[in-house]
Amino acid sequence: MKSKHKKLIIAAAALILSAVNVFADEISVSASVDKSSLPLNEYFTYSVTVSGDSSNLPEPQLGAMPDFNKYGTRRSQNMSIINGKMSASITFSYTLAPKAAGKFSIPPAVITHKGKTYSTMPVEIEVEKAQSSQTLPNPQTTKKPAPAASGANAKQRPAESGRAFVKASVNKKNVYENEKLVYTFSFYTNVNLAANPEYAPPSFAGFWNDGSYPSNRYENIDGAQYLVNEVATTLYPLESGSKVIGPATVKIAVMDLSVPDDFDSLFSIFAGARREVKTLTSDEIKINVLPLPESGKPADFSGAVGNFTIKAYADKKEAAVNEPVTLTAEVSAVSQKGNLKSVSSVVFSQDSSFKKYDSIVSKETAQLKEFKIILVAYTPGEKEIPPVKLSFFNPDKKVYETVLTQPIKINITGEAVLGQQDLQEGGQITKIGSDINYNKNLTSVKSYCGYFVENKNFYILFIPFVLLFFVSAVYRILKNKNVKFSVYNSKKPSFNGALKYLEKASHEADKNNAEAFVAYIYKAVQEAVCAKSGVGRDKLTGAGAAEKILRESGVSDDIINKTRDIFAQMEFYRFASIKADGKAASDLKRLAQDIIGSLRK
Amino acid sequence: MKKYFIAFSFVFFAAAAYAQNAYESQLKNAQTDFQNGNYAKAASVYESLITVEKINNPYIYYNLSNAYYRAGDTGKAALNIRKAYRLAPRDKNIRANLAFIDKAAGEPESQSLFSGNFLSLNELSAAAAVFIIAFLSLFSIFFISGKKFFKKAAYGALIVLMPLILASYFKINSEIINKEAAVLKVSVVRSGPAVSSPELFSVPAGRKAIILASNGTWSEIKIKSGSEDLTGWIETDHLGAFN
Repeated sequence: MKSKHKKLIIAAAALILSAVNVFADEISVSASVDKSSLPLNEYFTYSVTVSGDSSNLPEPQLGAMPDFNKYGTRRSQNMSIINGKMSASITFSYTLAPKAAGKFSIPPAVITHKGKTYSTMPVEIEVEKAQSSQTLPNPQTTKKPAPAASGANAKQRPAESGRAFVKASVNKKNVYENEKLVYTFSFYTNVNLAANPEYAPPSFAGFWNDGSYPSNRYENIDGAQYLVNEVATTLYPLESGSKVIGPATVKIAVMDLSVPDDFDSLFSIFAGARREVKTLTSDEIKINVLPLPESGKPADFSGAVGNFTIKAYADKKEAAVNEPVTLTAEVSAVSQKGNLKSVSSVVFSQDSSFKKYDSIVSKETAQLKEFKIILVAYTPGEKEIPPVKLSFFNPDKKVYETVLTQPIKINITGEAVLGQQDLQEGGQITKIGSDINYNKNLTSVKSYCGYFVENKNFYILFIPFVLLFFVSAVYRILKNKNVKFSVYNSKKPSFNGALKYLEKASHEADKNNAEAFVAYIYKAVQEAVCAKSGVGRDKLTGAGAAEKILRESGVSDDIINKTRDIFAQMEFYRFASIKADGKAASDLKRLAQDIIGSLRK
Repeated sequence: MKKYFIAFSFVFFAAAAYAQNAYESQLKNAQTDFQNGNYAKAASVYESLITVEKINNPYIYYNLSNAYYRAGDTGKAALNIRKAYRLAPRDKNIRANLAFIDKAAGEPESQSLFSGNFLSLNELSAAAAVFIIAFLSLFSIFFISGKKFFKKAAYGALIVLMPLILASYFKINSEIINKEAAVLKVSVVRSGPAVSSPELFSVPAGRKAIILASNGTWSEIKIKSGSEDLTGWIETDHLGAFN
């Protein structure tokens, strides 16, 4: 089991570390040409290949090449991972055309990588004289130059009686962002040239220049045979808006075969010195770059523009549990109508059966881009690698399209290292990022009030409870002191009431509560006087009032005198703070009973 | 009289229903704007509900904070999520977003005793009021009746009341007495209330500050930096008060 893990770790590390180039520094560089000898009017390809175990290989610096026109550069890349070790090679191909006949040496290409300098060997090339126009094969067509595709922009600049001119054209003037655009510069001539023409490309600001490809052919125009040298440049607009491709120029040296007027000039014919240098310039071309439409854009669209196909395959049909399986997805441009540089990624569908590592671009050429991803299964059984997907914008149809690969069946053997349950329910969670929680979906809202503590009504709420507290507290205090003088009796004064007070006075006397005893005796006499006279208790304010009331009621003087005496005694006890206890209390009670009994008769 | 009452009721409820529908439409528009990535527009709708309609609702503040955060305005996002948190401190989404925005703004974690913040100030005030009334009432009943059960119940209410009053005190201190604010944009804090005063330190948007004093268009603030408190003067319009 440990060895399986080690294998997995190595494979994963190879993928991850490839991006940061931590492998050894061993790289090599070589140069070659596709032909070692050629006629003056042809071109050849000079290739420099840089190889090494790094994904970040540098571009070589070419030496000065004054004898050649450089038309374009192509770059093709290969990357492979074998047993966890990565190797890559990048080939830079330069299209060159000689300017003159002779033997030339292409100087070494040099690269510098991590402080070390590497260089190629010089390459020898032999250029023969160009075939004369008389010996050229007759062209099939006798028509005038075919008009360039949309946006053709021809400009004839006769040289030597209209026998050399240039024109520039594009395959379309309205293109989308990242859509492939081909700019063609054509140089027509039917005159002998003293040297190969020198081409100066226009400014392609606002475009990605994907390289130029020279070619030549013959064309019959108005009965005259022309050699047509063309340079086709592939461009990709980087952003929407109105763009301009500037003028391109070609510098030619034409042999002057006219009869000279003077002897010196005539001599120069034989010396080969009579040549006329001319510069032919094309017109600038305006391009309208359209933005990609927003409607219908797939969620996984990553900027690919063109028309593509996709296919996928695995490096094995059977693998052990925990063994890396390399899935390769190849994206190809259909009929060269695709910007493979705009294909930054493909979508490897999510599937819990496999652990996936980051994908890498393993190969890239003009026609194909290859992505690799390592998959690892943790459980045995018949598995299906889900489809790989690419969404792109098709500028011909003006719609977004999605292409899918077929699922790939693979048999996984061995024992599970994790339960399927673990894999599906949480074994493979990878935190990608964090964010705020999403909006509340509100349909109605209620407004919250401000702080209660800042609102005076909040405090008013407590007032009744505070008052209740204090009133009840006072009540409690008074009750504890047993003060009953102010107790208001709502009942009508009666002799029974007087007797009840007398009884309560007896109870208080038993408890030695002299103060209360006196108070009840007072109430008993008061009650009896009021009952006899029929006046309210509030009218009986003391001994004087009692005497007056009783006299008005026709009570005898003896009873009036007794009543006056008892009131005097009770006031004495109340105000002199002397307790009526023992014999004094019983005398007082007896006197009260006597008064009540007399008044009741 | 009855007729007038019916007419009044009809007008009142119709107006209330209209207001409700108007909010519903505004809320829906704001949500649509948010979903379509028009965060500034969504924020302006929520702002109008708060400033024009005078709606004081934690979830409006929450959505407004989200809109500002998405629009890249961390300062206003922090201000509004704090307002939401003060009104609804137990809401999980509000708590999560407050933690997230605080982290984004570099706000140090609170070490205070009552940082738990389970109840809002109004909830604490209401709970304290209930227990004050219960205490007074129970003691009053005891005074009148003399039954000891009410006295014990009153002391029970007092035991609950004391921590509530203490928590309310801290809450009032932090939310009302200490005037807290969010720094709305990256600002330079100076030693005095003038641009000519020497610069002391810079403060990122979204950080919480306590306003100590004000002088014209400047405010003196105290702000936490690690374990120490820094003070200095900042332009007042760079601050958004929580209260």
